[in-house]
Amino acid sequence: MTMTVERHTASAAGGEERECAVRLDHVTKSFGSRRVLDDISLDVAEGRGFVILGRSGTGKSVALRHIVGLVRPDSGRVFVRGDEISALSGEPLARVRRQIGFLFQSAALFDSISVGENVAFPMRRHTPWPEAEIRDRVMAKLQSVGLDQDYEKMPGDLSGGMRKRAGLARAMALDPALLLVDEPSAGLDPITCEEIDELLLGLKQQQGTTLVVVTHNIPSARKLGDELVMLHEGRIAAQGPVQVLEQSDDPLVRAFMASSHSG
Amino acid sequence: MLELARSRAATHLASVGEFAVFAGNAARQSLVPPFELQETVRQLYELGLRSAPLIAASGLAVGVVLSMHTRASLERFGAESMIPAGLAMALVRETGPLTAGLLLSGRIGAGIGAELGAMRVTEQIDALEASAVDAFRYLVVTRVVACVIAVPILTTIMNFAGILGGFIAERAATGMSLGLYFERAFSLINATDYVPATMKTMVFGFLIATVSSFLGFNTTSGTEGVGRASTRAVVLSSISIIVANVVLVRLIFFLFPEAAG
Amino acid sequence: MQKNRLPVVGAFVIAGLLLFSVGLFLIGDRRMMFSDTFEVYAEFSQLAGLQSRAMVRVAGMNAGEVETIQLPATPSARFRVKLRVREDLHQLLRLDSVASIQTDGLVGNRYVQVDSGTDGSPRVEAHGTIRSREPFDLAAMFERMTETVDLVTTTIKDVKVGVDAALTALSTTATDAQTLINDIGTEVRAITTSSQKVTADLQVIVAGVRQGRGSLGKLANDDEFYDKVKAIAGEAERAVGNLREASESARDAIKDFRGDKGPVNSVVGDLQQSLVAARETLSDLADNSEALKRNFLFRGFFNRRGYFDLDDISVEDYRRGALETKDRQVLRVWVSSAVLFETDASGRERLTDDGRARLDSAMAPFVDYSRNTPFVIEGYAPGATRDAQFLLSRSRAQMVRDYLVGKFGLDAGHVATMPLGHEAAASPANGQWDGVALAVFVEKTSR
Ligand SMILES: Nc1ncnc2c1ncn2[C@@H]1O[C@H](COP(=O)(O)OP(=O)(O)OP(=O)(O)O)[C@@H](O)[C@H]1O
Ligand SMILES: [Mg+2]
Repeated sequence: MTMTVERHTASAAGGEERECAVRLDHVTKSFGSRRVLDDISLDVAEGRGFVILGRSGTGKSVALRHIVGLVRPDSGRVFVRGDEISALSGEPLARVRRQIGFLFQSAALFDSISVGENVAFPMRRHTPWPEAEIRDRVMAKLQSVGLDQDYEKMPGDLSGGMRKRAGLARAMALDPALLLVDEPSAGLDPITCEEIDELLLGLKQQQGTTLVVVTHNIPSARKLGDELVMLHEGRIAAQGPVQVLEQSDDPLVRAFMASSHSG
Repeated sequence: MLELARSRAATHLASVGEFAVFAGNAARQSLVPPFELQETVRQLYELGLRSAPLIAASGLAVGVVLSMHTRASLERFGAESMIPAGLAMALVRETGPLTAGLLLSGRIGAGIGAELGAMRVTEQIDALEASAVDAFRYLVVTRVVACVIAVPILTTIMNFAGILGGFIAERAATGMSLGLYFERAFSLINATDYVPATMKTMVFGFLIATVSSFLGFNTTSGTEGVGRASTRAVVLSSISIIVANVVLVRLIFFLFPEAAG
Repeated sequence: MQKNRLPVVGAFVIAGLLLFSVGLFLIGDRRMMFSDTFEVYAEFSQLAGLQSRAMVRVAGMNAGEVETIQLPATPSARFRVKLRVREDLHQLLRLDSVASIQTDGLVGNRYVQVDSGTDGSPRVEAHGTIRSREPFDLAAMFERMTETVDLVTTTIKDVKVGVDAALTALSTTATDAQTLINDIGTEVRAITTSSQKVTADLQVIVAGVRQGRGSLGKLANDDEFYDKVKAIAGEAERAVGNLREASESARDAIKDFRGDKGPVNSVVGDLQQSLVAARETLSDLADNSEALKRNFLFRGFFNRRGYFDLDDISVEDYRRGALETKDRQVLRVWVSSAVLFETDASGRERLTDDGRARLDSAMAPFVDYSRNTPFVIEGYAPGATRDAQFLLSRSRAQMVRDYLVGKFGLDAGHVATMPLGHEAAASPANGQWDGVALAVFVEKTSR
């Protein structure tokens, strides 16, 4: 009951937020005396690819964590598909989160269970699917990231790139409408990197999944990003499609875009 | 200097307050659904069943040693026949619960502190949250419930292992039969000695689980923090058990005056 | 996931609960949570530390527990103890069953023992009251024994005053009587001294026990000791009874001296008879207080203080030199029967004046030794059979002992007699002796 009420309020308050998958509204966040996000506002349209760029330590991961509600803003609000996730807790929060897939920068696999069980975990928690179906779906996800041979492996026995891919498989487990990925290509060889990009692109194009991607890999960014944002010292340095950033006045942004460094 | 001391004290007080809220939540949520049954079972296995060998072996050893000590002192008064009863009384009332509690705060406390600490610093707890799982309920409440169930059971195992150890020592010394030994062992024990003393270890279990979960859950600063959390989990849960025991014994004497006799 | 853990964990939890219930059951076995019971009452003026929940045993079988203890309303009323007992033992509880409070082993756990009644007696109804015996209280018993011994002492004093008065009155009438006066006076004095000593010793022991120290304090927790002390209490009671009788007849005997049939009007033979009767009475009396003193309890006490209970040493052991240890040696003075004794009209031997004088001089070397030096009067006598030798040597030794104890104010507790027959290995007359030998066992270092 309360859930529906909250949803109505959120929609009523936002009005046009329906078409926004994610919206940050004047979000400010400090850790101790260090201001990591300083009055950030941005919209991510439903079904689009959104890329966050920026130098190390500028708060990209923190921004991503805001979207899934792991970090709450000091001021400002965060909306996900019409719900103000920064104000939710308990079951309503969980309901929003079930629509989100999240790949952590460190992959954050549950290391007490196998790779396959990691991918199966969200399915077991949130679906009534029978065991056989879960197994089929897990195999499909693992296959899509090239880990179909590694179902029974424990996370501790994987390489860094394999962990990243297993983490991505887990993030995709419930075919979420919103997929947040933190540096998917870090630590991957160019070929695998390309495969992952293709995979994400496929999700966006075929299933209409909204992507929010943090990456340092400019080719990936170009491929996945319908819109890009560049963070610098807690603020948005540039925002817009690839072309806009390439023609930015800011030399830092231009330098960033010009690099072909991958990873 | 004074300023520093004051701010330190304030931090400590604040963490005591935080702990109280944490423990209160754990207690409340362990009583209201949804219950994480499968995970609770897994914790019962990991924390309970897998502690059983340690507890049984320690119990046996404690029983043998206690029996030898009581023999040495009771023999002087020609009261060897009191050894089983004296031993069982000591075990059931205090030695069993407290020894089991301390052993388990070592094994379980270190385990929970290290495991949750590691999960915290490797973002696994965040990953749970991001997967729309209530990490507190999934990780902490399950462990608390498992400990509250397992510690009394393990204490009972400790008691019986201790009495059995006493029997082995007695058997070696006098060749007494098992039946007679058990009859004598329980001849002085009243239900008020046995039931409250065993039940109080539920509180021990609760304290071990909440204290070490609290420390693990709030781990910071990477691997080093994990080590610190695990050590502090052992130290603080042992201390909390010892202190709680004083209060509990007092309470039991108050509620069951016969137990004080 | 590892779903197969559910059965193992289930088994663990169930096994734990089972184990816990086994414990409960082992307790409950006695607590009778699971069997039919009935209630009876027993009343005690002394609880001796009995508490509710204490065990109840019927004829030694664990049969229930003390449920409640009702406090007495007035000092003269008694504690009313409610016992819960297994129904299947009901037929053992008869109207003549007796409940008593007992101690289980050392720790002092009290329980109620109910003896089963006799077949002829009717069953105790539920909620009925059974008879009870007050708990045995060691301190109280010692107190009673002290009283008993005090009574012994006063009685003996009474008798002594009476006898002394009678003897003084008689002293001028007959020479024969003079001898007896001496004898009796000696004996009475001896009894009095020893009784007073017993009393004093008892008081020391009782004080020690009260303060809970010393080996007696430890023994007080011992079952075997408990039984022995109970036996002593019984003996002491009997002794008091005997003493009363003894003092009655002693008084009667004395009355005979003074009354119409008194010394003035009666012949010497009557007088003699009366005095013999008095003397026998007093001997009984002496035996009684000696018995009291020689009891287990005091024997240990005396031995520890360097006394020797020569009753413990058989004639054989004595001959073999039981009292001569590496730091004690014997000094003997041999006195022949020819000097000591004469046979009177009735055929009994008695001490002659010469004999007394000889004994006095023989004692000369001994008086210097401390009072607790063991002193033994060895009796020697010829005779056709060993029995005759034994009897005569005993009576000789006793006569000499009585005389010496009275004359020199010796402590009756330290002077023993040893009837040794005719054989005397160390004798100056070819390995035989007829008479007595005074033997004192002195420390070698004291020489
Ligand atoms: N929980 C936290 N507590 C304190 N400081 C934090 C916390 N999380 C992030 N920070 C700080 O916020 C800043 C931004 O961190 P963030 O992880 O967002 O960087 P990033 O942009 O993702 O960098 P990288 O590209 O290296 O991953 C860092 O200085 C970091 O120290
Ligand atoms: Mg980052």
